[in-house]
Amino acid sequence: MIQLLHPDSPWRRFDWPYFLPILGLAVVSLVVLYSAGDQDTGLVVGQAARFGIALAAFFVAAAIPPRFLALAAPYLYLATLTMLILVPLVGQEGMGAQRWLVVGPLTIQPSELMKLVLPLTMAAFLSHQDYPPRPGVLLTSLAIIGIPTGLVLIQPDLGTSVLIAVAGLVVLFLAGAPWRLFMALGGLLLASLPAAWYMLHDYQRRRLMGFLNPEADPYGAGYHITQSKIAIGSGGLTGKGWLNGTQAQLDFLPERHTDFIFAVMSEEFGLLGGAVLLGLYLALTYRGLVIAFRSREMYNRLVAAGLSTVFFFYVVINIGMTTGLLPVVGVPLPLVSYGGSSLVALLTGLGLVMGISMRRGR
Amino acid sequence: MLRRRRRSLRSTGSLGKGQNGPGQLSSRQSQFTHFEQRARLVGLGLLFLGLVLIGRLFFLQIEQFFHYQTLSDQNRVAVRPMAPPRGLIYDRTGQLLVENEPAFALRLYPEHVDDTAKLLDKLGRALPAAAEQRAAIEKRLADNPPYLPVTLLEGLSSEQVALFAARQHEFPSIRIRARSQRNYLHGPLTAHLLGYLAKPDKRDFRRFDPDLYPPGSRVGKMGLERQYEAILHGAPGSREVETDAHGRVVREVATEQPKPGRNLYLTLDQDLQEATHKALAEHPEASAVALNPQTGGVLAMASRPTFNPNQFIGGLSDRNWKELRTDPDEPLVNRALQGLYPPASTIKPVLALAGLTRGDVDASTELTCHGSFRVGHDDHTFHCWKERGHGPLKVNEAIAQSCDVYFYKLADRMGIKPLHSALDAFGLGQPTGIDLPGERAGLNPGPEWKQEARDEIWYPGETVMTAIGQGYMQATPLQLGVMTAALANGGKRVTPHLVRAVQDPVSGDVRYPTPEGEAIEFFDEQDLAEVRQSMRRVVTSIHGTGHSLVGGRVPLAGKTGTAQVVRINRERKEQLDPEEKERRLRDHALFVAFAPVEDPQIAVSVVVEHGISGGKTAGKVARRIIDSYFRSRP
Repeated sequence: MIQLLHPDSPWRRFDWPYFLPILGLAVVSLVVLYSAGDQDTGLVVGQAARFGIALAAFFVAAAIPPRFLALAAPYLYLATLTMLILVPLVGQEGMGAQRWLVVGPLTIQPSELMKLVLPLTMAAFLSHQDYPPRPGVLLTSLAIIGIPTGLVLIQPDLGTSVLIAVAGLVVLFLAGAPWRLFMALGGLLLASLPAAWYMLHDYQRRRLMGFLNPEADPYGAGYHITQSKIAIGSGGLTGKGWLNGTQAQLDFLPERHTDFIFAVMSEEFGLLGGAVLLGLYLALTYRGLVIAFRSREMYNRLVAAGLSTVFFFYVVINIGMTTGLLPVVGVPLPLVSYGGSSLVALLTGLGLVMGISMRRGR
Repeated sequence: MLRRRRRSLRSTGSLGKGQNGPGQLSSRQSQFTHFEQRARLVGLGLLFLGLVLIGRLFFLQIEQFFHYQTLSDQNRVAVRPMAPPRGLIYDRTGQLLVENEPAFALRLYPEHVDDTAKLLDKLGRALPAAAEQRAAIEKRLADNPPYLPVTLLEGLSSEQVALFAARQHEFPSIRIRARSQRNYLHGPLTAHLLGYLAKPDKRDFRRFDPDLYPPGSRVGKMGLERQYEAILHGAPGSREVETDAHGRVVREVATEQPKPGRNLYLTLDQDLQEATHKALAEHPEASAVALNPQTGGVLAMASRPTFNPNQFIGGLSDRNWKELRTDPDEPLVNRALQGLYPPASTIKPVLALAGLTRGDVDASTELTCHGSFRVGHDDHTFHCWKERGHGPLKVNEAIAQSCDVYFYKLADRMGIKPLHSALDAFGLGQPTGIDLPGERAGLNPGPEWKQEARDEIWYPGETVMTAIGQGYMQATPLQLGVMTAALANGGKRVTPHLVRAVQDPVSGDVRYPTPEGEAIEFFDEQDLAEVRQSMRRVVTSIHGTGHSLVGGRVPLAGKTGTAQVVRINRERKEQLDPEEKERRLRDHALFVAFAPVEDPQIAVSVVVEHGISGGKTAGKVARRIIDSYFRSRP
């Protein structure tokens, strides 16, 4: 405590504008969860406890000096990569894919870990390079991104692999990689689409087809999207009121306390509720970008801006998917969806940004 | 933002000075500037994505609000049809013949079931029937989309319901569903008359309004259930209910009561119906009809073999159903109106009446029987059933002794046309118009028919064959009953019918749709009296073919018939053992009768397949029917 109050302690510069939206989102999460989870108090208390644990991770992450993490990043990257390689060899299977490693009492999903480790590694690598990055550096960067993306893709976990790639590419973009590179990558992606379609697994194709034409099979592959859109659309401007969403309360919405919690919120609180939620996310993200601008070290800038961008990406993907703009890929709504592991991972990332913010003056 | 950027630029600059050379500094500085450009781009991109999301929400929640509100309401507010209670059926005395009783089924709501096999194991331990029908249940589950409830077991007994209800808490995803079903109180005795219900198919919906049949409805497939479907069924009501995604009712919004089906009161006398079945009991294939000769009301109508319609309701197993359908003895056929037989000598009274009326013979004309008759032109000899011959006979003894030669000669005098039209007037060769489905018309042959159907000319020998009800001639027992009724009631061709009255169960209003008969006008009262006296002599005359029936409770008049069985279906023949084959080649026995002779109250027609002797086998059945009819009446 005394240490915390020391004039030199970074905690004295605790970034409240960054922290308050997080708390706001936590409150929204618990309120909506109570409604989505059939008014089960136990569920809400459990999620509150998970929030507590995740906040602990947040503070630990904030306490670690960014410099130290920059040094450790390559090792973390290699360790996570090793685990990713181990997954198909000794991993646990679930939902038609191998994603988990069991180490004693712990179940680790290395692909989730990689979402956090990759931007740190990229930032650490790129912040030591000359500017503008040389072609060799660019190639190495693409390899650093490409290897874990490929490993996750073959698990198969399309959603996470895309998110990992995006996290790496965002840092690469912020570090000043030329536009040509991204245009070339985009062209490559488009050209590989037909081939990719044949490599997709059946359930992935079903999801994509369900996304492209949900009305064709409203009770099968398109059921999630159709019901979610009905829930959101019938919410209107102000919503049906808390605990009064018929779609949610009467069980029409599947996965309504996890991936589709935004539909519950929109049904009960309407467009206004959705705008408030998006406002909280935007506030949090913009504060993260501001922290990046204020920081004086390239590594910190890349980490803060990269993590904030990826964070908002999750939001866009989840809401895009619940509103029928994007295919259903199984990305939870950050900080609001029910569940512990993604919460811990996200708040750890935000904690790193907080740590950067607290040390901005020195 | 701008101000902050400048500040951060400055501070970076000062940091760079100490650590790096001037070249590095500019590189670092331009990297910083570049980062800020890129970061601003990313920030704008994110803002743009956020705006896209808001735009999407605006589109869904404001632009298309009404569309989705409607969908949401449809999602949760369901209109549940309420099946109307089906009309009941009573006999003439008000005895209930069919009632509605609750039937129970187990329904599975599969959405919350993780492990179906485990659930079925558990259910099998609780209800042995579920274990027995495990394979069928699994097949139904496999065919069923996973979000729709599925029926596991149907036709549960009340013990099974109690057994399951006690353990309901262990099976939250399974519910007991009650439905109304038919219970035919007299089972096989009324099976052909009342018919049965089954799931409607496409053909049914060509006849009946599909809107009246919500899923799970039953439709009459046979008998009165079919004929009076529109009256018995009523109209379904509806319950507007709020449901959850599993279709479970959360709250009721509005209710429209169903319109119950109307009740039927029959002309049938259930006691007589039972007695008729009993009288036929010793004959494997036989049928009998008893009519009120004045009105045409059916007092009894029995056909054997019969079946138990109650087996159809609790989900008759496929095997049982197939057995019934393919049984060569055709238990589903109502022989009384679907069985076609040569009427044989039973039509002789009508011919006699025609001959008397036309003056071909009169009551005192004697025609001599030498045991055979040769038709002039084609030189074919027809025999009398009595080889030695009857000698000279007047019309009354010709009927009583059923002399064939007398009627050969009479027919030869008359020719086919008057003979055909007399039989036509008494209703042969055309449907009687009874209020039961599936009636067959039979055949009253003549030159015109033969020309049309076979493109052949009519031979005089065929006239002679027709005179004794053989050859092409075919009639149903019901047609013979109508013919007998017309002889009994003084010449009115009645329309046989089963429904006496239709009652609205709500208002209690009763309607009497008694069909009108049609007077037969070609004959003379006195000639008819002569024929009726002759029919009386069938029983009273010492030589009468029905003399064994003399005595009894009330005096009866009748006519025997013995129809030759031409052949058995070859395929069928191979399945039969010799004894049964022999039985199957025996003649059919027929008997028609009315009683009392003066003021007849009942007309009866009996056909016993392979019964050999009309007078003995079929006559005995008729006698017993008539006796039991008058047992309860003075």
